[in-house]
Amino acid sequence: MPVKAIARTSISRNGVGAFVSPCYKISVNYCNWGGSSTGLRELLNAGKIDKIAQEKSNIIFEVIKRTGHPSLKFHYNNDVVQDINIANLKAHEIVNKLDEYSQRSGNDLFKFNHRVLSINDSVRGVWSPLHTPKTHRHKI
Amino acid sequence: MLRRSMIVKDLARVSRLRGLMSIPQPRHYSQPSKAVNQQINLQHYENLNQSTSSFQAKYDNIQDYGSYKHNVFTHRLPESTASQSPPLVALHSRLNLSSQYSLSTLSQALNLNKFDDGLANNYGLNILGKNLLSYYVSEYLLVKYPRLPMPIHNVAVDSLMGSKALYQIGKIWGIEVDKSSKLDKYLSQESEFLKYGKLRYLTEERLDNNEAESGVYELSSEEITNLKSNNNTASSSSFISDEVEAYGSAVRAIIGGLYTHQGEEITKQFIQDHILSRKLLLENMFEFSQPTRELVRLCDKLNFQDPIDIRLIAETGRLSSHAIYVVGVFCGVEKLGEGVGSSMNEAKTRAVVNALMSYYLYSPIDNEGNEVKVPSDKDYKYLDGIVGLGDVAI
Repeated sequence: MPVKAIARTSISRNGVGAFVSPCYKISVNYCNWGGSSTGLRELLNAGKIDKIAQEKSNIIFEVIKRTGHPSLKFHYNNDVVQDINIANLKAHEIVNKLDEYSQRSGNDLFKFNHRVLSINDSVRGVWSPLHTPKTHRHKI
Repeated sequence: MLRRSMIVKDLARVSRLRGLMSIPQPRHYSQPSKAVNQQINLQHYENLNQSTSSFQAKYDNIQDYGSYKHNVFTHRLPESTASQSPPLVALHSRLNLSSQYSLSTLSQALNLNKFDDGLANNYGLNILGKNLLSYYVSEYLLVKYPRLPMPIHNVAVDSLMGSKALYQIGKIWGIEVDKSSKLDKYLSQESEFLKYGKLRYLTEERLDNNEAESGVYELSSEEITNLKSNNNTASSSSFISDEVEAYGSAVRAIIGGLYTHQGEEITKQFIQDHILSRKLLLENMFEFSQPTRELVRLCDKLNFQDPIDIRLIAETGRLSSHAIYVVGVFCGVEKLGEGVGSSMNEAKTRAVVNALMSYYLYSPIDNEGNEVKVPSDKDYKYLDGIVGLGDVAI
């Protein structure tokens, strides 16, 4: 056998061909009695959650009645579930939270202080000191 | 009172179902006389008369073949029921499918169970999708990398449309597995529509033996045989679990469904967007055993007149602990490859491998510098260099 093959799975590049939003499911937990759910109950009564669910048709919405503080659970396709506490938040703040977290990738946020983040090789290549003419080469 | 009676009634129904599920497996007796053995088998099959076999065949007498009747009638999910399933509607929207693609087909693509609730399964769609995928994927690879050696080509096809890749794609699409049994569904008052949008591959029997601990589960008989055959031949890393296989099947079936509803053009676009857009790690797939010898054989085959020679291009720090050598592989005045290493030998090997890779990973372009069209494109023109010359043998 001249060449042997090593099996490698290809890497997904979301957005290069098709884009599929990483958040696929949101569970909305509310309490019918507690004061901390007032904002969320307002949204539910006004039918705003229905409207949001229709706009974000690519996300499954699940509304659960449960005692305790209200929360939003975001399920992402990298098996991450983020539980966001929305106790005592006003209606518009909850809508903001929904918008913000439904657009996330599910990965942890990190400080990015490099020029480029890429899985591709450099197009230009790496500079080499040894590829200059001999007369111009740096000598130690 | 009424509610309790309902529960009791339904529990009775569930237990009856469980009774049906726990079919006694045919036992292998340690060879008594043949007649006895046959008798036992007959008894076993007569038990099956209570419509418990997978085909649910009924008969008056086992030896009277004329009396055999199959009474499994599969049907498709009505569109009105399918449209009430939130995961199904969300999946349809996530994949940007047009309204021509019916939700009932999508639900069928997610059903792998043979005889569950009489709903049609994805067997046919899966085969259709598999053939479409292998056509477009191999066409893409053969035209884009015409000189890829056969083993690398096979692994590259697997890397794009193997079960593991399709499993990842299914996960990205947000497909969930239906992991609750009928009893669990009843007790948690889960809406019956939810399951139509989930991946159904676990039989009721396996659903009942819920995971004791998350991540720990009992292997099915197919998985055990798969694992055993893997242990005998190659590394166990090639083991593919039922879940991975099921995701792959669902993704293929969804592609098959797209073809049946919207035709070839749309399916091709879908495959390009979701599968061919993934990054192929071709450079990491090569494993050379004797690279220098292979390069010499390759140059022989290509009728290069001059012999291969390896020359030192530059070096630094020969007497230090961190020497660097730059070595080139030449054929006459043509440089075929170049490598950098901390010893002459390493640099030489890298240079030879680099030369081989630049031959194997050649990708043709047309006169305007664009990527070459594949035969299924509209105005495809045959170009030289699209058909490879075949592999070399050492």
